[in-house]
Amino acid sequence: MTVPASEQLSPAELMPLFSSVAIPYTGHRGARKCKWFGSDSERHYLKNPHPKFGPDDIEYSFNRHGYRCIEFDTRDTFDKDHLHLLTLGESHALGMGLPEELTYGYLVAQKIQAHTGRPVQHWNLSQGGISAEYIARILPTALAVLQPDFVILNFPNKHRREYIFDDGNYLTCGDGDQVAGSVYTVDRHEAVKKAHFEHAHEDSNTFNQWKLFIVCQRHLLAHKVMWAAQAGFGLPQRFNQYIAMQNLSPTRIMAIGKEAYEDNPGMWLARDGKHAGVAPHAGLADNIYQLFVREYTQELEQLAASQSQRTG
Amino acid sequence: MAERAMPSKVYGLRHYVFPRAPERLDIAKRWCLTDSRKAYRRRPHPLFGRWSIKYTLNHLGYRCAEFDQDIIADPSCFKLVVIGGSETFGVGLPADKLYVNLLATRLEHFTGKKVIAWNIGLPMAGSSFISRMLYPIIELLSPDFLFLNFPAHSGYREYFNDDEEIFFCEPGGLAQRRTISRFWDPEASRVDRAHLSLESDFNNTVSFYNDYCYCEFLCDYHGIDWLYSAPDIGGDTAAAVSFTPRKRVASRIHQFMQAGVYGESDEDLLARDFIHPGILPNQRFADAVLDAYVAGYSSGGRL
Repeated sequence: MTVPASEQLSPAELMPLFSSVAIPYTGHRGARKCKWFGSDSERHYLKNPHPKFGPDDIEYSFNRHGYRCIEFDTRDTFDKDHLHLLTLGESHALGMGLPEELTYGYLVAQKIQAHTGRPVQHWNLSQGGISAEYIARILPTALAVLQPDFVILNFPNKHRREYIFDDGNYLTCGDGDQVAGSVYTVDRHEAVKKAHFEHAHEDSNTFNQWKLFIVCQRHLLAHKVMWAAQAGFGLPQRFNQYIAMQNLSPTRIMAIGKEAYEDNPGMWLARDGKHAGVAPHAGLADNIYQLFVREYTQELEQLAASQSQRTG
Repeated sequence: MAERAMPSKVYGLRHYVFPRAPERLDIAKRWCLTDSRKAYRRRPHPLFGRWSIKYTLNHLGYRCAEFDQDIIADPSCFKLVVIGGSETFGVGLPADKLYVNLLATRLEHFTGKKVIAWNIGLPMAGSSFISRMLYPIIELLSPDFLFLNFPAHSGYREYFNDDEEIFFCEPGGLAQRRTISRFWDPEASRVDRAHLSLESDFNNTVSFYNDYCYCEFLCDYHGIDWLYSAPDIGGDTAAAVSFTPRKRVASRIHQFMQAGVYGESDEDLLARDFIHPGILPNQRFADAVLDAYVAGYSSGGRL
């Protein structure tokens, strides 16, 4: 975990699968801070300036592994008072085109902090363009390494599939032309996309999404964490028996506050003009927080009570 | 690919529809894939002649009895279901020498009930096949004991086309990998080439692990008596890799195939194609599964 990303990493170091000590690297590994990232590009901004966010208003800060959070090896430095919230999802959860402190994961962490009186560290392991396979691959490792108290999962659309190569790099293909890769996989995009479409099948994708959600649910229950998720399955009603439906946030992020803010792009959209903006993130954060309060009333009360005892 | 309003039959996502076996599998009455007439001519098996093996399939394409509603509903009948790959199907082996049917006989002695064995094993089937079949099996066959035999290699995959045809693909680098003619079967050839271009150990491990976790969740959710046999997956197998060891049959059928370990000859250890497990490995594997079942589920003990 302490190997600098600039060093040559072996495939096993890049992609430690289901490890209890090491989280896999992403496709844009290497600690860095930047003003533009992914679809939130300067080029797009110059053509379509955002009413609320200027060029210097957003900073993307990535850790050595390429995630938008602090370094993983700082996890051991937190005292027992701290609570930990893990967000695992796609570009909305990453906060594409938004400052970190306005992303819904961060906002939920703030609300839990206010509720319990205990500091909450937000670990955002989301990536743009990922698939359900990414979530199911990262989740067991993240649960073991980061030991979060709260988890938020945001499942992307079911057409996306992830392919990992022998060199430890990976990319995701979706429907249409969508390929989410990295500089390490750019030479393979076309070939993989062609193979991906050879195998693409509507029901296979539907089943895969549902299966991977169940896999994630199994990991979450095994680790006894408090969790909430956003996902859609498109399956007959009887398949819901396996899903903890009460833990699902019913509204997709882009549907939250649509009527109220659709005509106000400054609030409705992020700086890139594609992803959810301030208002949907705040609305979703509220929904998820209410879900936590409703489903885990006792647990949250215990956390708050033990903190108030400690602080007198 | 075209969007469909309803989930397809291959996934068994509709009520009361049990998925068919792929019609593209090359299973004839007397020969099946690696257990071919050509291979037999080249190397005849001392115990099995050309008429010794008959691949009798039910109307859905599985090597077992029909899925009879009367049997499913009969509480006096013990329902054994085994899902797996070619070892479970019994390539190169008569049905009565197959571990699935030997296990059924042993269970009959043990339980004192009539045991019906439904063999949902297919050659070239992988963990994705097992996970796809699990829901319809649980819903429609209501097994008393379910055994999941994950194949030794996690590189087997299945794919579908819009006509609901199923394509089973083998891992690359297999010695006995079948060749698909680009001329005679261009679609299967394309699917196979795409499969090979996307294959990696990482993908295989991820796919197998997810399939296993899904199966475990469903079996436990329904409170089924179940066991499994699976290859070890590489890497750090500590807390994050949470296989359920108490459900795992300690031995794999391939471990009984290693020549010299027990001092037997190839003819006892190998099936007619000299690739798949023969008579002795099947007998020993049936014993191992029964032992695990008895240890886990007999006399009120629950795993």
